[in-house]
Amino acid sequence: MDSIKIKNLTYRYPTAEEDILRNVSLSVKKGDLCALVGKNGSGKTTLCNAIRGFVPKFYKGDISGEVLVNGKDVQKEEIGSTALEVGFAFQNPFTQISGIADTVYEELAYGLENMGVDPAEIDDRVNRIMKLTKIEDFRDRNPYQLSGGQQQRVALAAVLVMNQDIFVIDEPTSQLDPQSTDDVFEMIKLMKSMGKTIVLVEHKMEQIAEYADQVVVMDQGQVVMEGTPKEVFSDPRCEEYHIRLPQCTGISLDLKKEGISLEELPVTLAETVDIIRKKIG
Amino acid sequence: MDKKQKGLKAWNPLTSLYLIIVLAIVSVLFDYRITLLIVAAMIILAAVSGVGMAFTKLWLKSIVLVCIICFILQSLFIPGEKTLWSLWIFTVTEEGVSKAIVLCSRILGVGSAILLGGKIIDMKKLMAVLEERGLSPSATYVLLSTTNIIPQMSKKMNAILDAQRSRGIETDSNVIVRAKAFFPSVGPLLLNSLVSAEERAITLEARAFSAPCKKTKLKEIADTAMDKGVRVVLIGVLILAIGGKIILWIVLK
Repeated sequence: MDSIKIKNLTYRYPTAEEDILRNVSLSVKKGDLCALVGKNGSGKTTLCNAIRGFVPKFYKGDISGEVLVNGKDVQKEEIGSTALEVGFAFQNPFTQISGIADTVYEELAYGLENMGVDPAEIDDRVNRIMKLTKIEDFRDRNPYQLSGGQQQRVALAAVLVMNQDIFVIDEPTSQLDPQSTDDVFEMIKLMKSMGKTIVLVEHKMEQIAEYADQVVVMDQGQVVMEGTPKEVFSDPRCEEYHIRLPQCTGISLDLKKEGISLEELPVTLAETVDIIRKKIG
Repeated sequence: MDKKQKGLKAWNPLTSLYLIIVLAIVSVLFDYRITLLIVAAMIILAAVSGVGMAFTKLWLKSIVLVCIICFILQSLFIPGEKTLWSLWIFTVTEEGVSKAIVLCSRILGVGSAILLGGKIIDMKKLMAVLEERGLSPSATYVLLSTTNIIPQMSKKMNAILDAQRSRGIETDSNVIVRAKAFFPSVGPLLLNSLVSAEERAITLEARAFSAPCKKTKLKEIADTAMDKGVRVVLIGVLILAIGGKIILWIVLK
């Protein structure tokens, strides 16, 4: 079953001269991690906002086409009700702190309070998610006094605790150091293991190759390539759209130029090691 | 989870708010003798609630200081007939002093009440209670987040000042130089805040702020029979005080 189904979506921001999304059609299966990649300005963030209903509800502008989330048309839903279907996290950790919680614990509880969850259950769920996401250490700290990486993890946990089926995560690691990036991807892996459908915008191709089920390449508001990481990264058009390949794939391609060809093009580290082992015998 | 709260802090915040308002109004209604009594009572209340020292220190530094300054200015510059004391161009008159006493007793009464309120009322709890009673969640959000966001903005301001300094805009010098630096520093701050406001709105939406369900509160705030009783008594006191003032006024007339 498709959790997200987008049909012929075209959208233009109110003051823009051109369409930012052009005739985008896309579907994401339930439980899949769909990675959106592409240049800056190619419409990835706008697409995320469209799935969550912020486009056109929050940003206004002209829209045509349809976005179905769990079978419901988000443009017809109230912006508040979509919150119960889609969890949303974005790039800037500093503005993703609600600003009214004194502790991380309260920060996580805030979304559940808004959803009207019973206090005893809130306590239960917050404690469980803090344990799973390993942020228990900051439980009683002020969210504003955490580092960017810690804040991003708190923001993701605060969305995860709300337990929607679908998560839209827009460049969660672009302001973080390598260690925090790994921590964030641990959380994304956790979400996936919980059976969540995830739409992720990310530029770190190694991680995408490892975790994504589906990679969608966008360019100038259009979906130009789509498929499994393997299908996409082995497509020569990647160069045309300035998609950086995962390092292993890049190395394998270089080897091929040197005359050492591997049976297949690997995209993850484990796969590369496997293939090279086989080759060496 | 919470430490056991002492004195007024253990009350429902709404009850404390009633108390503060009644104390402020009563002190305004009557003359300085009553105000002094009320202020003394406030210090005792603060002490009972475990914030005696903190309250008194802040009170001396702010309200008392303002009162002294106001008293001096008023008594020096309000003209009158009966001179009490005179030096060079300064003349203290009886009329001036009596006006100064009225003004200062009002500042003292209301100011101390607000200060006490700030010390003993937990804003978060108060907002939760008010929200329960129908105040819009957006209003309570704005009031509560302000305390958190102002320090964030001042941090941002420092970053902007550093950035502008590195571009050669001078910020440490005489008044004119500083004034010139004003627009290049405040402009980015405003624009920045607008952008963060948009992102924060999205954050709130992501946390189901406008979800169509009844919100719950993690911490239930007890509204005991005692709280309700105290509030009734306070309203009674207020009515009595206003009534008493009217009667006094008619009699004196």
